[in-house]
Amino acid sequence: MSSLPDHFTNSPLPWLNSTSDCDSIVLSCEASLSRNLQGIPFPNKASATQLLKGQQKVQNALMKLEPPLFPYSFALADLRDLDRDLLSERRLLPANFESFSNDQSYLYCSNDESISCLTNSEDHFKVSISGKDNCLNEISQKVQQLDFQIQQHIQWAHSPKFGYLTASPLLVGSGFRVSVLVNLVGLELNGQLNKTVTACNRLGWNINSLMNDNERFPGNIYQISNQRTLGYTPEQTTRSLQELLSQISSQENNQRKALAFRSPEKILDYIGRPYGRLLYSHLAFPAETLHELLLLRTGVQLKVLQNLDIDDINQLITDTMNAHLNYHQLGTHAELAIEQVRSQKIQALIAE
Amino acid sequence: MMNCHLCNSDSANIQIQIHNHLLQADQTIQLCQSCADARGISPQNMKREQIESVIEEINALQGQQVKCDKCSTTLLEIRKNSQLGCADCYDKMGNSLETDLRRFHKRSSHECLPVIISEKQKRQRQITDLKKELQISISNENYEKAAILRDQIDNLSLL
Ligand SMILES: [Zn+2]
Repeated sequence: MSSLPDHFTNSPLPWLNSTSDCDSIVLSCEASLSRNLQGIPFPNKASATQLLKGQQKVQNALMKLEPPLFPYSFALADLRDLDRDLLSERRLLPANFESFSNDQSYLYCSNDESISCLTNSEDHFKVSISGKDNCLNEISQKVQQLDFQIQQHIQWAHSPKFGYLTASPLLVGSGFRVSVLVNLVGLELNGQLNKTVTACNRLGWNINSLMNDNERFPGNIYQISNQRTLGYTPEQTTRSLQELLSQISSQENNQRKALAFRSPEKILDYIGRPYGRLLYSHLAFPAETLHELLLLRTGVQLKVLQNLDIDDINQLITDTMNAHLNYHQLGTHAELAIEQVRSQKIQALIAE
Repeated sequence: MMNCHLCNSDSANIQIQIHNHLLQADQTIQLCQSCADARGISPQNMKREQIESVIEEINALQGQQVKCDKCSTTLLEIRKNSQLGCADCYDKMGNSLETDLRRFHKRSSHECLPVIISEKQKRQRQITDLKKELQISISNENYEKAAILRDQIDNLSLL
């Protein structure tokens, strides 16, 4: 029945790092390059035959890579909604994949999920590399090397004036998007976050809450990514993100120290409330639960919750994500609502 | 009566002559009273920025009908969906798309080699230095030297 390899459905979400260190601000990072084939319209205007032709070209180029990188490939059209949702929770598919996927959309994936390619989505081709903690320089170099290797077998649409041509005008030029997930609990709790967001936006960076429903559950995990691609090389973009990140990290560290010194009760309350809610809830809903579990995770990192282990929390967050939970519960526990199953799973860990 | 370049009504009564640096030509803009009023422009009082933004607006209006002959995507569609249709769209959409790109990226081209930028900056600096020297020559009534300096400045400005 299951169509995804076990590794994809059981192992912790690849974007959660497992450092239980109070300085751990960066969870993970990701770098990607978007490319299009010469002579074929972008996917939104390409015919079925053109999409197929493009897919074959890219597939051929990927198969020529030495050593082979992608043991897994999935035709998105062959997967169930649940499978696609699960891949999206693991950030192997972009959140907006539904508005862009077609019959010729494929996902290629390395063994450890850190390298992936998406074909015929918003662009003909997108290659992404992710890694835990701050490994920006490494992944940024790696993704460029990989694109260089692929370019030995394929010609991308490129113009001297506009660089690499992408369907979205927001990506043209380098086609390079780099992002980091950061935990900004200190800035958030001290009411400094808006200042950081404004400063980032002014400098050409997007900063968004990880949560989809960030009105009700803002959370304290944020994604920072570059807005500008035209006229900037991947190296320049990566270097300025490193600089920005070191500023934000030092601010965040200062805020955390200030909190611990001046008002430790603020942190205790901030972590204690979701802990209590999770402990005494009977129905745990997905968005709220993710929000609260991420706060518990922060509590472990800040050494507020001493009895919990970061790896256990990561596994719990993974197992209670909507698609992951449904994947494993399908057909079992028929008498219980999924929210009840989720709640029981959480209590089994935190009530020990 | 003249047509207003913004709303296309036939009641334009304001004419503005401006030099368009991009096209290297003089351009005439015709506006009706209400479009001019809405943008705070009057014949007695108009600033260069105001006129430039009107030019952008007019370019945008004209551009929205521009169609890519390869994939038939229009600028209007591109603006609506934030998606271009094919590689040729980039060259087809011209100035209007470049205005958008500059807004998104603060740059409108990927010819971002630092060498080119610094060459230009170097020339600018040379021009500034020469102009200072020119002023000194003129105040010393050394017109022979001034003439040479003026030619040098002209030559550099042409590059
Ligand atoms: Zn086109």
